[in-house]
Amino acid sequence: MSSKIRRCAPATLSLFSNTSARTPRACIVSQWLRSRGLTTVDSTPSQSVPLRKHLKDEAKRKKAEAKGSHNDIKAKTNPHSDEWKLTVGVEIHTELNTACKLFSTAPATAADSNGLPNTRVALFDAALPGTQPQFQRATLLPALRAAIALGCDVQRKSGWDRKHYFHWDQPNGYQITQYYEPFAKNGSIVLSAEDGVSKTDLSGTQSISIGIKQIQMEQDTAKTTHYAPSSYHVDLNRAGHPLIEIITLPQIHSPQTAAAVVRKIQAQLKSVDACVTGMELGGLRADVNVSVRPRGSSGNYSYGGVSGLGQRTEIKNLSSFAAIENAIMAERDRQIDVLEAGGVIEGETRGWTLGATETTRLRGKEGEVDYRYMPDADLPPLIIGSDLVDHLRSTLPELPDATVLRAQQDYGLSAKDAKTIATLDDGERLDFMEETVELVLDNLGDDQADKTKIGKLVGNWVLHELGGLLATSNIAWADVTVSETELADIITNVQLKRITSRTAKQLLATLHELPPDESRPSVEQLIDDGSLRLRPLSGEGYTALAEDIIAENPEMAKAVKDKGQKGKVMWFVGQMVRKGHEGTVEPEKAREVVERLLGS
Amino acid sequence: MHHLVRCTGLRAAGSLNASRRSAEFSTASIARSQKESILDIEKLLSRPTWSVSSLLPPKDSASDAPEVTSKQLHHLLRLSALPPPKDQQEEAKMLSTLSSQLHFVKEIQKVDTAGIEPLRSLRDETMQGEKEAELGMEAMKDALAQEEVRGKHHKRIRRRRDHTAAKQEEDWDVLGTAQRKVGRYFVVEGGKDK
Amino acid sequence: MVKLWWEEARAGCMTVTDNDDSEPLNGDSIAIKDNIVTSTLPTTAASRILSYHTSPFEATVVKLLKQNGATISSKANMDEFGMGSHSQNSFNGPVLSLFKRDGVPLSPGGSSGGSAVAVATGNCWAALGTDTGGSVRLPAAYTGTVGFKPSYGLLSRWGVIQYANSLDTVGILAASVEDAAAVFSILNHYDAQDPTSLLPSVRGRIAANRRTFPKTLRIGVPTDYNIHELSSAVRGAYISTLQQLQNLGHTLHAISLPTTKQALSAYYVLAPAEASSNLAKHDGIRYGFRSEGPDALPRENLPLYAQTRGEGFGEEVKRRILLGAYTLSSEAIDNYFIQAQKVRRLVQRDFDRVFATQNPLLDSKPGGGGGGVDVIITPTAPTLPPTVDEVKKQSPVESYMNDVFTVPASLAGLPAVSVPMPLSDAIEMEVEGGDVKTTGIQVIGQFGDDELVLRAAEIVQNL
Repeated sequence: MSSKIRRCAPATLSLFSNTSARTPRACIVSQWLRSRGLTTVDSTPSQSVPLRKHLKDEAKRKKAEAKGSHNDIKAKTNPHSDEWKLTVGVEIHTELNTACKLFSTAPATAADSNGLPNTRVALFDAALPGTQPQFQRATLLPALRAAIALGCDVQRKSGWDRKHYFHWDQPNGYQITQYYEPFAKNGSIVLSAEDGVSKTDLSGTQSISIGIKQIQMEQDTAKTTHYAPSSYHVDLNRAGHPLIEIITLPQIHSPQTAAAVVRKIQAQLKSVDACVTGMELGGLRADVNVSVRPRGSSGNYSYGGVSGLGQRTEIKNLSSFAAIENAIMAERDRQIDVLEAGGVIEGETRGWTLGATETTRLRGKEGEVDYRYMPDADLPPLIIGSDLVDHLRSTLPELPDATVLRAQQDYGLSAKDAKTIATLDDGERLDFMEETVELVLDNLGDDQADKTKIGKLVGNWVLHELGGLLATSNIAWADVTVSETELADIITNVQLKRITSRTAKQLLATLHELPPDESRPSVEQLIDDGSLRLRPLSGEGYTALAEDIIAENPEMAKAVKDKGQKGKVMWFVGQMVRKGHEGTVEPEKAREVVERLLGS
Repeated sequence: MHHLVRCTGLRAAGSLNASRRSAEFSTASIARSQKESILDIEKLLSRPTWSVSSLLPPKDSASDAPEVTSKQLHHLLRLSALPPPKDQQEEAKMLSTLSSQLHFVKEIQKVDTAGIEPLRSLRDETMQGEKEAELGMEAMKDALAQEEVRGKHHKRIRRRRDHTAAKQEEDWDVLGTAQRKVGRYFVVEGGKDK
Repeated sequence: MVKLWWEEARAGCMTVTDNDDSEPLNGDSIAIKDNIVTSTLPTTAASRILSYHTSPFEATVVKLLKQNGATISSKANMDEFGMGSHSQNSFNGPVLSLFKRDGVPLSPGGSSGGSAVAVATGNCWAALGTDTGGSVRLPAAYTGTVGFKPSYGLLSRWGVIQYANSLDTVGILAASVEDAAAVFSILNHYDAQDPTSLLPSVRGRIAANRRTFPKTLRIGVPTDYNIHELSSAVRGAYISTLQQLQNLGHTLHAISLPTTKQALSAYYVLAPAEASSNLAKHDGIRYGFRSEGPDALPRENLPLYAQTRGEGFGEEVKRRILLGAYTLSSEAIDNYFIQAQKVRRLVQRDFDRVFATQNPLLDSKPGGGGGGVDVIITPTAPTLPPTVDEVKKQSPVESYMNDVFTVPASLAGLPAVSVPMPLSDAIEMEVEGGDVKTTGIQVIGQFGDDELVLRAAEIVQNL
């Protein structure tokens, strides 16, 4: 090959290639390889990057990409979109937090196993002749909690139906789902401006409620990897994992709100332990149904009991919040363009890829695929006891809205901080904070008990100081060694003015670095050992120190005294702090003294 | 009694002596209830009540089964992942068979089934059975025991992740019966042109 | 042409292993229909699509037999996936009956023909088959053996390759009712791996409500089984059987089972529909036969898996899958599939109306009243077995008619036994050597009344 060939950027050839606007054109070598159906992709997944880091990087990358393409899309919005009313319905598929699969005892996660493909596969999952499904009742708990968290009516009796279609990810040739009788119906989710709902959707009210038509349990498909041009490697580890499908009513009217709905539902599900992997990690996927109609008019279609809508199309497998927004915007614009040009919208299934500007047709009319839903004759109906539902409802973990409210009202956190801490580290951070607050209040005694003031203070320490240390040392919350007692001691000392806040931060950093064993020194010990206690300087001490510095800097003193440059007072304070013993000079007191001496 | 030829190596059936058993019942036959009239079987079965051949499609005249079009046939074959007919002759045969099958089963539409609950599977449909099948607190107690409450102030119910799944099927060779595989993966070839 | 390794196994099964005498089956050799998985011998369901498939696990019923000392002699040939009434639709070649007429072999009945012939020729002590619409009873009737189909859900189906899962039942073929009963008691256990296995609580309920065996049986004779096509040979044996029973003091009662006429049609909607679903897993990817080349050829209009399935399935299987796809399609499902399920309910009700025993699967109907029958006795098949040449001439739909007497008990999941009864002397003179000398008489009981049915069948057998 000649030297004219541009060097290939490795990212171009990766399966996870960045397809945003700034991708360099594929080099000639890679084009040549591709034309022959070869790829330079390493077909064995790299084992070298630690999983947590890899996932974190992936999430970051997706976020960045989405932001980028979001801006691109926004620029292309159809100027006529105000004349049209958009209606969206969302269908969310999320993996349930269970120990095993829906109809077999194969483990649901690769907990201790090697993570190799085709190792978490029961005989039924591989659809071996002669095998039958065995409903694993434990999978019902997260499903029920999801239904309760989303305000649904749990049906006492529900059924299992086979949805037939042939695909490399469907070993039985059908999926077991709940088509005719789902286990939960008629729920809703309430969103307000804080959740990211667009102002126009709120139209003056505090919040909107989006109806949830039903929730059903079903099997997940196998995982497949595509090797061009049309080879598929199939891994059955995921096949048969329990999913719930949550179907909203078509009551959403903007792309933002749609993304907000999905985000909020995910947060609800995580808080009740119904699902643990969110959209960022592939545990939650969304399909959206999009239709438009001229504002003020009524269309001919009705979906989920909501009538007067336009013909809808479905966009499948959106795997990020930004993708949801962008895909809906692109589809809305496409439909408007078609209708304004006098065409009709076909009821079809469309796909969306990251970085695209328009959805692409995947499948024809809804009628072309006939799933021939048939009740599974092997499985008896699912009968759910009302005592179980009542118990789960009364012991339901606190939902995010309530947590955020409590963090604000009881602990004085700002709305932003409250929202952050409510979901950080699966609630562990908040629990840590609450325990620390209690300890600080105990230490200070009743007369100092202003819970919201202390709460805000502790919140700040836990989120920003400790949070900052976590970020720079790149460790997870679970590996933090600082205990609530230690943090409480530090904060108490600051409150009682026994140490400066600068000292406090240093103490925290020190403790953070230490490993968790018995030889860990207490906060008091560290203060003593480092002579960090603020030995309060006496009034004479301050005066003496101030006079020394003033004497050493007559010009500066003159500037304040005679020329009235009050700003320079702080310079003197700084000098006093630096000159005095570590932690003994309080800036406030120092300033008072300097001001007094320099007669300002 | 009908006897069968048997290999000498096999065990003989251990049943009661047939003739002895007959004798037992013939004495009982004398004490027949006078109230029960003897059914004249010959008479009862003298006139056949229906003909199963009536379910067959008529040989010459047109059947009144729903017509299946060529398009529908191709659609059904696709849905079943079966190949399309290789020629007109095969297609005609398929359509004719399907048509005769539909004629045969059409009989079920002559029954009025308004208000009848479909029988989906032979299982316990009693109230007692439903109660036993109910997944309530008692049935779920093992599953509930797999959870714990985390946190002191901000209490959250979380599924315990410390132990592995309770019972696992014996390990088996998942890929052992596959004709083709790549490493530890099953492989499907979509057949698209390169 | 009989399956090669079946023949090899036949030679081997003659030896009786030296087993512990305390084991109930004491080394008895039992043939297993080739749609029940075994882990050492292959399981093909007589289909090319599973040729040389060796299952990684063993069916529960096979496990139970071995635990009780039985020797698995061989896998018995059958109609592919259980679809057929004459065991002529097998990738391994048709099953050869031991009987013939004018030198032409007779049909051994299907789909468990191989199992029936193995017993009839004495090659094994008993055999397991499966009965979906009559597939154990019909071959028993055609080969002069006893064929028992227990109540649905009593014998585990874990490891039984599915044809129509709401109908499939493991059945037993043996030389006598007692032998069949012995095998039944070994296998009659709850299995948690089979979600349709009748729960211990229901089994307990059945046992608790069991009546003592009546001194004289009240026998139902359904006029709806008296069809035009009932041959005089069969009619003669049937009437003779009933008269002999009556002479012994048992009472005969005319009963009406009006939905009998639609039962056959309902079966041929339900079974192919469930089959089309159950057979969707056969694509060659994880096991079994796979065609050469790619799995889809879009240019040649071959969708995914079509070539493998087209080459792997036999014609009758493909016909039934297609019928099933039709009756489940969204336009047809209400009028066909769902309607058939409703007719099935009516068939169940017909039986519940006439039996003395309450159906344990349903809550008792108000105002039961006495006067029910203990068992129903009918012929197993309308005619003596046809020859294989006659079978070849039949259209696919014509062969459905053989199941007319066996299908209703399948739809209601009732226990039923086919007992061979001698043809009348007059008839016997007509049939030449080599032809069958018996025809099957079927004894049907209420759901769960397996013990009663077996004892009644013994009485018939001993006439």
